[in-house]
Amino acid sequence: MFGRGYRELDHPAHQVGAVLETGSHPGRSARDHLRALALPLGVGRRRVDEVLATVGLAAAGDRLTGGFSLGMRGRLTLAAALLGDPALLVLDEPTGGLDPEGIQWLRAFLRSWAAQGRTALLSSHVLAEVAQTVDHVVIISGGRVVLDAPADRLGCGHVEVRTPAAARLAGLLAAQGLVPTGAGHDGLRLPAGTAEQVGQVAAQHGIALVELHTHGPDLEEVYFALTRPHVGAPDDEPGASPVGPPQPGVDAPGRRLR
Amino acid sequence: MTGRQAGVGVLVRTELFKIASSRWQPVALAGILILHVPLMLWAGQDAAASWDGLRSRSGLFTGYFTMAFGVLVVAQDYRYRTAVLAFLAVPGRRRITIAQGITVAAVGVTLSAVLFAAWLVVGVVRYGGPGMHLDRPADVAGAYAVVAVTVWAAGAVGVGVGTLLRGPTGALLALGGCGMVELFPDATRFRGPVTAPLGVLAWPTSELEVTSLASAVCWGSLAVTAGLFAVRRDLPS
Repeated sequence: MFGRGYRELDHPAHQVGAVLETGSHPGRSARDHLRALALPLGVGRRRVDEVLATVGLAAAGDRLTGGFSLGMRGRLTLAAALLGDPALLVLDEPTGGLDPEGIQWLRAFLRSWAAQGRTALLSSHVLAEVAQTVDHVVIISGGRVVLDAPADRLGCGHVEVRTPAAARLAGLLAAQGLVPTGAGHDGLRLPAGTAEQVGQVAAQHGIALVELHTHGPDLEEVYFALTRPHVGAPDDEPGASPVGPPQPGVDAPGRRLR
Repeated sequence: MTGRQAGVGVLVRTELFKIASSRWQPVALAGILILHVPLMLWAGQDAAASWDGLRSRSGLFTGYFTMAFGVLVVAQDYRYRTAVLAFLAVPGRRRITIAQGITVAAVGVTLSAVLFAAWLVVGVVRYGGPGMHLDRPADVAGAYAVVAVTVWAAGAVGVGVGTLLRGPTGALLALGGCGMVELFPDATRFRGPVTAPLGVLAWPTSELEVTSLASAVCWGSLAVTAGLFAVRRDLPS
C-alpha cells in the first residue's frame, strides 16, 4: 500500500479504509461502535457524526447494532472505513447481504468517491455487479493476473437488435460499413457504440425494431475466455469473441502476483 | 513498525470506553459491588474473624470475576468480528493485548480496592480501628497488596486464555475444566493457573500461601506472554 507494507504505514486507517468484516458488538450503539474505533485514530465525535450521515445512518446512530439489518451493518462497516478520511478504500464483496436499494446506493457512493479523485479497490466474485461500477478491471486466476485493463478497453461490449427484418437491416448496415458480429433469424449483434447508427438506419428505411440495447462489458465472458481458453462461450461463433483484439493498456495474460 | 500508531495509553482509554459503552458490562461491574452490600450489613463476627476474612471477601470473588471479565473483554472482539476492525486501525496487535491486560487489571484492582476499603470500614465501625489493624498500617497495606497482585494475576490469566482460544464460551469452559482438574492432584491444587488465586485468597488474612501467590503471578505472566504471541495468528475469514 503506497509503496509500503500495511503494518509499516504511519497512520494506516488514514490512508486505507478497509471494508472486510461487518462486525459490531450487538450491545453497543452504532455511534459508540464508531467512537471506539475513532479513539485510536485520534478522530473526534464530529467525524463520527459525519460518516454516519454519509452512509445514511444518522437517524440510527443511537440504536444498538444488534438490531441492524445486514444492509445497515454493511453501511456501518463502510462508515468505519471512512473514519480516517482515507485516500484508498478497499472493499471485499461489499454487496453481500445488501438489498437492491442498498446495492444501488453503494454503486452511487463509489462513483461519487471516484469522482473526488480517490480510489476504491473492489474485490468481488459478482462480476455482473462489478461491471456496472468499476473503471479498471484486474482479474486474478490461479495466483496470476490474467487481465489488468481499463474497463472501456475490454472490447467486449456489444449492441443487440431484434427485428423481423434482420436480414434486410444487416444488408443496410453492411452498406454503411457496420458488419454484424453475430446474427440470428430475428436479431443481430453489433460492436459496442453503434446503437445510435443502427436506430437511424432502421428509421430511415422504415424497419420496425422490437429491441435495441447496449450490453456493457460482460466480465463473466471475459473471465471465462481468459481462464478457460478452450471452453467455448455459448455463442462462440467467428467474430463474436467476447474479448476483442489486444487493446492498448491491456496486460498480457499470466503475470504472476508478487 | 512505526511509532505513530496509537499508543498503549490511548488503547487503554479505548478499552475503557468500550466497557462503559457496552449495554451489560457496566451493569455487571456495579452488580459485583452491590452484591456485597447485604453481606456487609448482615455478616456478624468478631474482630479477628473480620480481619481474617478481609482478603477473601474483597478479593476472592473479584479475582475470579476479573478472570472471566478478561476472557470476555478479549474474546468478544473475536466473537463479534470487531477484532479485524481494531487490528486494521492498529496493526501492532500486541499493543492492543497489552492495553486489554492493563484495562482488565485496572478494573479488577479498582473493584477489589473499593471492596477492601468497604469491608475495612465495616470492620472498623463494628470492632474499632485496632481490631482491623489500623494501628499497624503495614499489615493493612500488605493485605491489600496481596489482593491486588492476585486479582491482577487472575485477570492476566483471563486475558491470555481469551487471546489464545478467541472464543468466550470455549475459554470459560476451558478455565472451568482446568480448575476442576487442578483440584485433584496435590501437585496442582492451589498452584495451577485457576486454583492458585484460591490458594492465596481463601486463606485467612493473617496467613499467606507464598507458593500459591508465586504460582498465580507466574501463571498470569505466562498467560499474557502466550497471548502476546498468539495474537499475531491469522484471523479466520
